[in-house]
Amino acid sequence: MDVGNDPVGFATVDASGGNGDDPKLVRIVGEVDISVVDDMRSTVFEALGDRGAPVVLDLSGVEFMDSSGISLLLEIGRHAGDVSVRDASTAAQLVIEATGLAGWLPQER
Amino acid sequence: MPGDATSRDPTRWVTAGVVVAGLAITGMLSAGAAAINDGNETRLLTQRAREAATVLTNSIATIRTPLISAADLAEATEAEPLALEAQLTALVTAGQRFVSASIWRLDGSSLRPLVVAGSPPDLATRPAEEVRAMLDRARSEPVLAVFDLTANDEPSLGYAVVSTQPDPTYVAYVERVLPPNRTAYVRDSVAFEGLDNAVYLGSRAEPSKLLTASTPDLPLTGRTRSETIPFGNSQLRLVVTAKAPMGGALAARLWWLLLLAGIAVTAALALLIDRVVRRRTEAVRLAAENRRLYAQQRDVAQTLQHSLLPRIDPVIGDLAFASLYQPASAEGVDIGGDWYDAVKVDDHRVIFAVGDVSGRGLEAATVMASVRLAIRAYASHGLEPATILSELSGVLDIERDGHFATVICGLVDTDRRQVTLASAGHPPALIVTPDGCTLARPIVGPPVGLERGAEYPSITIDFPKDSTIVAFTDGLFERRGETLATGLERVRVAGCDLDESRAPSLVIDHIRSRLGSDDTEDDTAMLGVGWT
Repeated sequence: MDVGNDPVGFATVDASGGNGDDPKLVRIVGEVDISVVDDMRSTVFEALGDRGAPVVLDLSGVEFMDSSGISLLLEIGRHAGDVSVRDASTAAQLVIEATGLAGWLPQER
Repeated sequence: MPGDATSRDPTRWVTAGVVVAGLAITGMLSAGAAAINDGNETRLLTQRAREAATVLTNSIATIRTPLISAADLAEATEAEPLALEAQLTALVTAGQRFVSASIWRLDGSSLRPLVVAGSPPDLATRPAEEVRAMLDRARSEPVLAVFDLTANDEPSLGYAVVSTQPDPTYVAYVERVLPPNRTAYVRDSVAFEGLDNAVYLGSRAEPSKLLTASTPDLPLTGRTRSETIPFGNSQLRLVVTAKAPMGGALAARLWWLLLLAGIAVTAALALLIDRVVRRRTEAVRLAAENRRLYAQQRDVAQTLQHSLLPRIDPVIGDLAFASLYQPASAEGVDIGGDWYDAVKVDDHRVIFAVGDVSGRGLEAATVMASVRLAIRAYASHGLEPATILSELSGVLDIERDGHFATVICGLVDTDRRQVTLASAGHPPALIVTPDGCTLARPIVGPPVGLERGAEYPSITIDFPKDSTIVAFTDGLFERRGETLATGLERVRVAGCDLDESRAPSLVIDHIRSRLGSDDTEDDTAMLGVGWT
């Protein structure tokens, strides 16, 4: 599901999982800043549904992320309860480390 | 409200214009229909009047023909009474028009009738000169001599005819009593169908000269046409009017049907236009109001935010300070939660902090204020930067407050000429020294508010005289499409090419002139600390 009119950054949610213990896969792509993060937020939370279902973040397509993007990742983590990062691009990884969130957004085991 | 007059007037003018135009068009159409109908009615009535006049003219022959027969017979029999009696009696029998028929000598040698049928002629009771005048007129009038007896007790007409033979000796004379009230007579002819008519003797419609009429309501009013018809030596005046519109009821009513329909359509259109225009005006007004309110709200928010930011003393002890707050320039972006602060701990120590609360809007700004004040409190108790950050997790909780904050906190010790830095998810600080520029990167801990009791490592670095340390928020360097490292390197280079003075105010001005762009999407807070 492609949402967000701004083509520079968008989010998709693969909700095939999440029925039982399977985590839902949230994929964030492109340039993530304040101009697109609101659209992403509504997309993601609409698809995630109830709180507490585990989420795996796929950040391999992130080309740029600012503090509002970090904020979104933390909100997703709060919502899910259990969040991990499957694959982070260099840009995403640098931001996660620079903001001291490596412990909060662990790599998927 | 000043907008009222300007927002209401156009509505009225447009509606009034529509009403005026609609009524004007309606009036023209209606007047046109009325004029066309009027022309039609007049034309039709004129036509009918001519037809009626023709029929009336022809009817004169029906008077003359039996009289001619009687006159001819009188000539042929030299007024033999026995021969004429039957002929004259036929003229006055019931069902015929005449009450009296008689034969007279034309030469006036006798002023009495020779033969009479029916009532005695009224003429016989008249003076001799009137009788002679009748005989003269009968002689000179080849078709029909008409005598006006309408002034009699029993209003009548007299007709006289002489034979067409040369040198006639006799004249045939009849009298006819006009119908009671002169209205009983209905002309049984299609020529008069649908018409009210009145026939007068003479060329004018004088009431006393009325011969017949189809209605007692005289004179005829409204749309009338008149025709004058030769009637022997006299004339008849025929006046007609239509009983009902000749072009049909619809044609006659069309003008006011158009008028009513036009007024109805105009009213409906005016209401519609009025509503549309009002809605549009209202929408425009609301949009303007929204813009104004938004701008006002933004102004209020920014004013509040500025009031939540401290005024940093330019000099505390041996240290000089400079600060900058630059709101995001993009439209539609709420105020941010960036801040800076500096607190004197004792004579040789100052705590400073630069931070950024996540999210935007008034709520973020108020959270910012509480975090900033908490840092002041911890600083005045002499806590170290790492401890301050750790303690802040008791002030801010993302689960409870919905916000977290990144903070870089530093302690400047002027005795030791050192700076101790700790970071909660915050970008590094820039240190500008006579030897060059470096980014001071403490090991970054998690942002404040995520984890209670989080531990923060700190680093202590030299802070020689004539140096300045600058802490800033990410609005300064984050640009779409480039990596964090690229942005930070740009900051480092921008602060590096100062030649002489490294006073904090100069460094900050310099960095802003190099990096400050007019279309930043995020707020920027900067604090510079240097030596006096």
